[in-house]
Amino acid sequence: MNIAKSIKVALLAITVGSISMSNASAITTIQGGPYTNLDPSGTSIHLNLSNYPTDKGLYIFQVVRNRASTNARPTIIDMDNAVDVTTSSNHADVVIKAVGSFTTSAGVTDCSKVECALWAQFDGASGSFNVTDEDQYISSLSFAAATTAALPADTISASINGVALSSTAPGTLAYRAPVTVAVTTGSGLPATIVSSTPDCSVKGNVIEVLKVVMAGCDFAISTQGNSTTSAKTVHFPFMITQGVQTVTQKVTKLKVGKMVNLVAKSNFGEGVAYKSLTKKICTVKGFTVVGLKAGDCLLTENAIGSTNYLAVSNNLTLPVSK
Amino acid sequence: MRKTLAVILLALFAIGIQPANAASVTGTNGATLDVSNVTNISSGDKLTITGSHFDETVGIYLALCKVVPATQLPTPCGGGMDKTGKTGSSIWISSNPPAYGVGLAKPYQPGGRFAEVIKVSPMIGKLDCRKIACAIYVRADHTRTDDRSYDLKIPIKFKK
Repeated sequence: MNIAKSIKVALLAITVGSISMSNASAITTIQGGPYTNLDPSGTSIHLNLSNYPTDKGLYIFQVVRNRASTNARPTIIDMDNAVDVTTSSNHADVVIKAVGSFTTSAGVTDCSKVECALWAQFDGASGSFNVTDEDQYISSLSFAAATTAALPADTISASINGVALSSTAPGTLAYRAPVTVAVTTGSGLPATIVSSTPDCSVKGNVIEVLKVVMAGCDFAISTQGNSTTSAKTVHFPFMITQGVQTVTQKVTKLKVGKMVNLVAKSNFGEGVAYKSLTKKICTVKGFTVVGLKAGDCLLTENAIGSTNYLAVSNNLTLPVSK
Repeated sequence: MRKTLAVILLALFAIGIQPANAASVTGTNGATLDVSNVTNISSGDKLTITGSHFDETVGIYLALCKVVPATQLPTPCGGGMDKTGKTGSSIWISSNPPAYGVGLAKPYQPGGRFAEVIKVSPMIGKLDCRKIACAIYVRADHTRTDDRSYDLKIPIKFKK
């Protein structure tokens, strides 16, 4: 098929696909295509989302359609080609690659034998994976006859400190508390980690939260595939919590009459305010403390918090000797 | 000697003491920008620029620019956009840069902080900051060129 003819067919398919509308009970309207005569080795389907939620992301999956009811959740889901449409994504042109067959824990699904479809639901990053408000089948899919057998998909497992990560149940990350993700692939091929959202960053295998947001973060871990396995991408969602702000003092004791500087800033750069609760034993001005007489110098240390981290409100005891 | 001074200034900012001819501005989003010296500046002077409470998901450029109305993109600036990290007169700060920016952009410190030294010249191309108004600007990087909500500026004055 030449390029012009391919474009014609694709445009026709997009037109046909656009007629297939979203489910009435879901809020987001999802239109696009093509949905028919798809290349079983992989076809990019372009979707336009409108009336989408602004506070939560959506997953779009290729699934086996569950005909138990109109919006019955699918039980066979191709996690390889999942797309996480985060709140900051471009909702005008979401691209998902549909394939003629895929492998899940249920085995190999051949979309020429079962009814495959595109499915949308809230993503897991905000803990809303189980909320069904946005559940909808976007369209059923039909594929052109396959000419070659699909390779079995690679497998990807990931863990943090020995605890396995889930692609459906979100993990938890705290602001500016970097963690190393250990990744194992069934093929032995190297995997790459990419943050799907700007609120989290990745350096090699170290992931870190840059901003506390309700929608959470999502990391896509991928392998390229080789002659015996096909490429695979697995998404791992995380909820985000505020970071722990700390004030780390080097001073552990005081001497009468000797001025000592306490820490001026917290680990997040907030100024630390000190107040003496034992003014006969020690006095404090700014972040300079002086022992007045032997005893326990009791200080309060406070630093303001933010949306990203908690405030500090500690008591500090420094023994004062002569 | 200059390096020592820069280190002392950085240390002063780190503990919250601001020299007399320093200046500070806080944006509506809570980001605070400080410049160590804003008056009587000579060509080649190094200005210590610190920031705190910046949005760490938004990359920024730090540069000396011609003062423009608030709704306009600050330009021209000394050193241009410095996506290469080579000119030294503008600085790219981003904790989440595009792939080509990894290693070029300097990441924020936790708390949305940065502390950088910029060597300034009164000339921005053919514009002379001794004759026109110039300022140290922060603006969103080239991934959000048209977004003015992250702009902050502190006017500076060169020796005539």
